[in-house]
Amino acid sequence: MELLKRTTKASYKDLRDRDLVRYFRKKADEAAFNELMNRHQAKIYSYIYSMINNPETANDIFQEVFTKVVTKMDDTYNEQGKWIAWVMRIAHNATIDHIRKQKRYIDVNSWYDDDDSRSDYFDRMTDESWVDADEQLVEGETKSSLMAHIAKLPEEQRTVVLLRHYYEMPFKEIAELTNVSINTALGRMRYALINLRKHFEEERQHEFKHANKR
Amino acid sequence: MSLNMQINDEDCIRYLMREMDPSEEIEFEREMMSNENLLIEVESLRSTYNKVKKLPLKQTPAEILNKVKEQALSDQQKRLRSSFKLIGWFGKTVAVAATILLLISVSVYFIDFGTLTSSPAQTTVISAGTVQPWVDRNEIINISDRTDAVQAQRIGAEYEKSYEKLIPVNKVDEPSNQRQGVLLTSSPVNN
Repeated sequence: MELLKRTTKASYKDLRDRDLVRYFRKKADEAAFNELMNRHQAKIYSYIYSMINNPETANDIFQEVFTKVVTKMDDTYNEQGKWIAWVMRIAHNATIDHIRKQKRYIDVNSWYDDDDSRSDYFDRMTDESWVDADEQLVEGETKSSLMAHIAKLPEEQRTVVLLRHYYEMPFKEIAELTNVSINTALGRMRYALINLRKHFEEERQHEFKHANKR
Repeated sequence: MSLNMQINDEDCIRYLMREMDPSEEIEFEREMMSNENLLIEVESLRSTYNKVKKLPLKQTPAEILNKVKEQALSDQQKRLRSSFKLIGWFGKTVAVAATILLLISVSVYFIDFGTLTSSPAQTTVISAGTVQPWVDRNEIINISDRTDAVQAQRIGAEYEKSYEKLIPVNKVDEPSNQRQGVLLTSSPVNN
């Protein structure tokens, strides 16, 4: 209680997730929740977005996830565990539920060729110090092709790649979250990298052919 | 591949993702140095993984983020308010229940006290019907604390009378047959 009274907005940055969650639970502390969001929103959103590849749906799922987080926080969140891992589990389940409800894989081409969604995507990307417009274009193309290749991966492989990339989640946790053995999770990662390597190679050959035609 | 370490496909990923123990890592690197195919496989996977690492972080749209924050805050405030209400309701219920219990206890006490003071004879009759004189471990008959005064007096008088039946021993030195018998009961008699 004393600690809570002494906590100023500036010091929220120094607090652990666990303490911020406690403040939010006990006092509906707005600053604590804002700090939690500042820390983790981009990773959660990136994961959902990369799995779904549709901004509107990603927005809906993101909101749904946080409605569940607030509703379930008092009942199912154990303060001993990492809050973000718990939120990630909810985000993952919500995303997979959505994908299964849709019963189809994402139409990569429609997403990849959609100029609006692509510009929208890069408008909100984290700032990177790109030297000039050419480099920026090359970088942008690389990232968009990377996104497209990842979107082409089977759902299980994509999940492992994104959980590892955005959350640096150990394979033990990935295995638990996806209800498979560690070896299966490792195997999925390996196949994902092998598939991506193929896609990059195909892309390179495609570009090479185009360059020769010109 | 050396005989020391059994390499499987997943080990390449464990090595790349730094999920090996330091000792395993050293062993794996040693294995790579002696196995060119393994080295090529690992470097190829590493190169692809380095590309994956460039996957950008995407910021949540500001309007969505604000909506989520507002919603979360208002939901949590509602939850806290409802839990406070629940605690208040529970507290009131407990207070009412405690008051009722106290009133019942006090009234039961006064009713009992009134009965005892107004008709003591009735109480003694009730207890006299059920309680008998009893013998304790020292084989002493106890009456007074388990029965009524009249009964206790009667039994006490009979007990006192029983002493009158005893005959005093005049000649202490003269051995009696009875005493001999008593003395001999605990040991074999050799006549």
